[in-house]
Amino acid sequence: MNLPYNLHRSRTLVVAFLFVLAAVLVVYRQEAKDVVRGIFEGGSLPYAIWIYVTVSVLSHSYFIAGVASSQFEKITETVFSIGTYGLAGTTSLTLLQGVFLQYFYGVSSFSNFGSLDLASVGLVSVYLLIYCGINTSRMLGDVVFQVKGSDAEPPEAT
Amino acid sequence: MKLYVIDKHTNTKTYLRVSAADRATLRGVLGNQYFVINGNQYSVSDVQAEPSTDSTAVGGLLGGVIGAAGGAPGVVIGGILGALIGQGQTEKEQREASSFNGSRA
Repeated sequence: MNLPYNLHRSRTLVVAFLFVLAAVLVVYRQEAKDVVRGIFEGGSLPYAIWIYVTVSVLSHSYFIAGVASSQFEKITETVFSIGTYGLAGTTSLTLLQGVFLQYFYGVSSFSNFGSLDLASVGLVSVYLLIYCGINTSRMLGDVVFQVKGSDAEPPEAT
Repeated sequence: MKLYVIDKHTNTKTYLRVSAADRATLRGVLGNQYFVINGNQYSVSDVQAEPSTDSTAVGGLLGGVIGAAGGAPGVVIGGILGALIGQGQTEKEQREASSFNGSRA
């Protein structure tokens, strides 16, 4: 696949970052678990998700011209997008928190759930979170790009 | 998807602040076959498209960070899962860019 140079560079950076992150997690295993627990129990992540989703979707629908045929369609699409991505993000985060606390700390979030069930719930939650994250990030990326771009002006009449 | 023209003087990419699925739509959005950017006149046929964001990298990063809740194996599994989800988005955007580059004004 022939990709632009900046795409190769971003992928290399991500792999390097994940390698470092995994190494840190191996060395500081218990400390990392406590930090993650603190983040989960802090309760600010759902607010962060709602704010990120709302800003991404609203700015995208305001700055980028879509295919919506009417103002009503545009507004409903925006409201439904915020609701869908916000709810999917926060719900999957709550499920992930439950799986994390039950698996690592024995806090009973899902009674009668075996290891395989917990792993499945965790995997589906991660999938949903990534899906929401990618889509909302793309929206925000489009807006940032549009702001940095150049305006095309009509040629002067001769 | 990013739209750009090659600057006639500096030979570098100049990105347009508009979006369109093909050149005919772009001509409609601009209202003319020709347009001016930074003092240089271009035709809609000069406009090229390329993918705007690398969703594979974004997905890998997100997956890795979220997977960190499961320790080092979580980073690896989350990273791979995220990259696979993002790859689908990247391929979709590449198809859109190819469709634009193959379109006629």
